[in-house]
Amino acid sequence: MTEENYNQCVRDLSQKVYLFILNQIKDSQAAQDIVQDSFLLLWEKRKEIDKGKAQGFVFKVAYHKMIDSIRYNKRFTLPSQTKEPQTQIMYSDAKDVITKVLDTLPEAQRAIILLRDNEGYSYKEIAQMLNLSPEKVQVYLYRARVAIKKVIIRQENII
Amino acid sequence: MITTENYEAYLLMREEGELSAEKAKELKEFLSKNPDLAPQKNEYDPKIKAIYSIDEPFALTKELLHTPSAKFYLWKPLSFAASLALVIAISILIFKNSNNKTPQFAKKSQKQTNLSTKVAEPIAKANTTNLKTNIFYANSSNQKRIAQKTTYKTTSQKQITAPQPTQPLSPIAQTNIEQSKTKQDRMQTDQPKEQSQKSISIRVNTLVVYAQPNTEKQDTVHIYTNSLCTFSSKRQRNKIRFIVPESITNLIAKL
Repeated sequence: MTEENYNQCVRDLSQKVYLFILNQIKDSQAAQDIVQDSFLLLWEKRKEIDKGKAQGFVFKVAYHKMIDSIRYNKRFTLPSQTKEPQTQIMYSDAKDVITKVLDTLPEAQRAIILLRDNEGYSYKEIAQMLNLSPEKVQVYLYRARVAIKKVIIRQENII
Repeated sequence: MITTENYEAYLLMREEGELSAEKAKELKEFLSKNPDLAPQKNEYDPKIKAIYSIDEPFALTKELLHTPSAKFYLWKPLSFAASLALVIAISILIFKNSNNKTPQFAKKSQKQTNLSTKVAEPIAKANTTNLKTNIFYANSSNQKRIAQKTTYKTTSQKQITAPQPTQPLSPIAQTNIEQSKTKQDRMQTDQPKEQSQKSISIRVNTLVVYAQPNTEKQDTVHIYTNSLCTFSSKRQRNKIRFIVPESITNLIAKL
């Protein structure tokens, strides 16, 4: 991977990776740090990584850094700062429901559904990014969609 | 093989229309065996898409781009300038050193001149006469030439200025002459061995005094003259300090 290829990756992927991380952790500063660290690692290992695998590498690194960040924050978060239970939330529309439900999903499910629906990656690509089997990716994706659908149905029943 | 761990993947593929007929049949059989795992009606909706709720631009894209630094661009001119400066500095140093050498040589020759004058002073004082002194400061390489010169002066002195002795020479004087001759001969034959040593030849008017450093005693100098006497004297710090014996002073007085 040449320097020009790296620059091309930055131009093509930085925005996507940033949104992917930001929509999960909801913290722009932390998301920027994660994206920067991911591309820094890509730059350091540019000689070992092929141009075609750079995209998966960046998403994979960003995802694992995000997981580390989430776990670190959970460790130092007070009980009063935890999110309210899902049952107490009132949603205005389906988009809002999906957004709120995504926050309650496990990290892997949330990442899979975001990568699948927003970036259009195949199950195999997502599996490589998240160090999972393609079958497991499909299982998590199915569970995520079912979880969202359940909340939507419940909301419709309340209304 | 459909199990409780992966049956959801097959459900997803069925919903997406990617499940083969064979696998669909296998899934149906699995769900009939495990009715509690069977999906409820409208449980899954493929139209549900998780889209990004936050959409803001990433502000650090330009910072992440690798742009060749100014150092990279200036590498060649800087290296050329550094090498040029190094060459100039070395040439200046060499030039300075070459300039410093000339005064050093000058000082050295000046030292030699001082040495010769210092040698001459005691002789002139010791003679207590206004004799004109000529000092020859020579290397041992031209000792032979000096010796020949000394011999010539000796003969010329006898012919022109040296008074004929009214009395015959004493046996002691004759032996002195012989000794001086033998020493001169020995000195001429020993030239290669004493090349590193310096000798001083002093001519006091027509009296030639020849000083030879003693090889055995560093503080002793042999003094040969074209007269009848040969003697040794101690030297200190390159200055020959000796008292001319009475035989010499008498001879000089006669001259």
